[in-house]
Amino acid sequence: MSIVLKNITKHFGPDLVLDEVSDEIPSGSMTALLGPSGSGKSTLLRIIAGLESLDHGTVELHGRDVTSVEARHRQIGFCFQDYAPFNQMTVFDNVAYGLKVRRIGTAQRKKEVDELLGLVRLSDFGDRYPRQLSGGQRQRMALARALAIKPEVLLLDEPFAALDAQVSGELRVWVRSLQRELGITTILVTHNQSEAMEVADRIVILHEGRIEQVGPPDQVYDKPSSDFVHGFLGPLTTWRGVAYRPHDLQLCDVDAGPRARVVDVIRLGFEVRVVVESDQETTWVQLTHHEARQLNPVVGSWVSVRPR
Amino acid sequence: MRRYASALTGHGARGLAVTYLSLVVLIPIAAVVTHALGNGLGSFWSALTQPEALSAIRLTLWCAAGGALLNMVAGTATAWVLVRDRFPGQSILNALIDLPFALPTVVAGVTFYTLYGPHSPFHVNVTGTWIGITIAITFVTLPFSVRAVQPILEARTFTAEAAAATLGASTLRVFRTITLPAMLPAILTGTGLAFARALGEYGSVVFISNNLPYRSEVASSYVYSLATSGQVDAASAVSLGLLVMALIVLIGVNVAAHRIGRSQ
Repeated sequence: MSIVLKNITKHFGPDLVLDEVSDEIPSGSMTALLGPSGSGKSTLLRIIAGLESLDHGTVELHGRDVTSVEARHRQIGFCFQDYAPFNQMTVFDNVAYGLKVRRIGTAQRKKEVDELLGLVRLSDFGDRYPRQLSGGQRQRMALARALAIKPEVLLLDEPFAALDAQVSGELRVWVRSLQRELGITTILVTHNQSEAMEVADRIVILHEGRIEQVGPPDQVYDKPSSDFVHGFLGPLTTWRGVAYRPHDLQLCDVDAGPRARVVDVIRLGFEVRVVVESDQETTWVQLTHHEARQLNPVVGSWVSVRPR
Repeated sequence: MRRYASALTGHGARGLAVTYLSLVVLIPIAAVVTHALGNGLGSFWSALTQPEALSAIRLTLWCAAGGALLNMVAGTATAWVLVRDRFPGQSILNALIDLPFALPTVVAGVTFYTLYGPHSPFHVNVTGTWIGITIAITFVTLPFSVRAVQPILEARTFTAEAAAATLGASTLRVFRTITLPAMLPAILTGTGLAFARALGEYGSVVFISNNLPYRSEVASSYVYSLATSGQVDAASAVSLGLLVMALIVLIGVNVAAHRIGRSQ
């Protein structure tokens, strides 16, 4: 189901949070709303879900204008950043909630909830309470609960932000494959550019309430349309006054070009960060482990730097 | 940091807390218990079951229960309005909730006497009736109910309601299945505290109740009259009775709130 946003504008008091935001989210896509905190991305997600009012603009789901439709009638699955567990209910009852609201009979409900719990790998946890689950399990429960209403749109608000790196990494891969399997149009809000790159097939970059750029991950990364996008999507360093990604620079012999002196070598497992100082600036060059072993940069030695 | 914190807890802070609690709470209670039981269980029991004592305790229990139940409903509604509604003067109203705590209870007592006493400007005279006593008790214990429930309703920390809405639940259903169950432990705690506090209320009640034995004399006022007429042991016995009732209610409410909120 495609989602069309037209000229969405929203103020919180005197603050302009969203400024004429328009976008068309293709059916079945996984779109990341990416931006720093305060860029309006979560507000936009809540507006799509009907949880937040808007000043003007429209939200269309599959060609139908739902701008004035209440959240409960939009049939949109929403996962909250804090997972919004129903703490006084068991995991089973959490997942069953939307089905109960829809008056699905007990037997059918049990069958569907069991399936969903299997899907999110919580089959053995139906009798537990949310409090007794880990962060990742709670997240999966929230996902199952949202999927129970068979939504055609799934909205995820910072789904991995509260998880530790390893669990977050595993869940990203899993959510991505689940989304592909179900083919459900999904929008994910994140402030983490690598998360957006990894999970989404389409990235919308928001900055101060406006869309800066829209495109597939590769494209926004390689062809940033503004300095903001360039800087936000990955680290930047300058060499002779020009901004580069650190991995787009390489180290060469000292007589191959302008000189710089190695001031620090930081080994971060797979990558090696070499900090060099020229008369103009301090530059940071990212080498692979393999390159670093071949070049063997030593602090105090002279090298030259060249764009790759 | 952890080591620092545990060292502080282990020596300084824990010692201070125990000493402070002993001086302020435990020793006075021990004194009451000693006095109350000093002449044996028999005389404790007979002091507690004097017809005048029974009458005063019965009246106190009814009025405290009435006040607590009133606050359970009205206090919860007030908390709701203070958190969920937006209107001019809201922050002033919010600050006023604590007034019954801050205001000397005697001042409240005199105020009620002027408003609802024999010289009432509205010609409403409830002196010497359970209604007057319950009004005073409700006023004094209102903050317990409101303040217990308020934090639960803060929407920022309570996204479950929005989640239920996205799952298709109506406003009423969200309230019934999500909001109310989440509030219940806090409502119980607030009501229990209000009730326990009301059992011993004196200052705000003493004027409007008229203190007529067997009719409008509350337990605290009966204890006062016993103590000032030299019957300190009998006064202690009735006090201990009130103390035990307050403890039973507090423990009961805590256990219930814990059971309900166990999963929360």
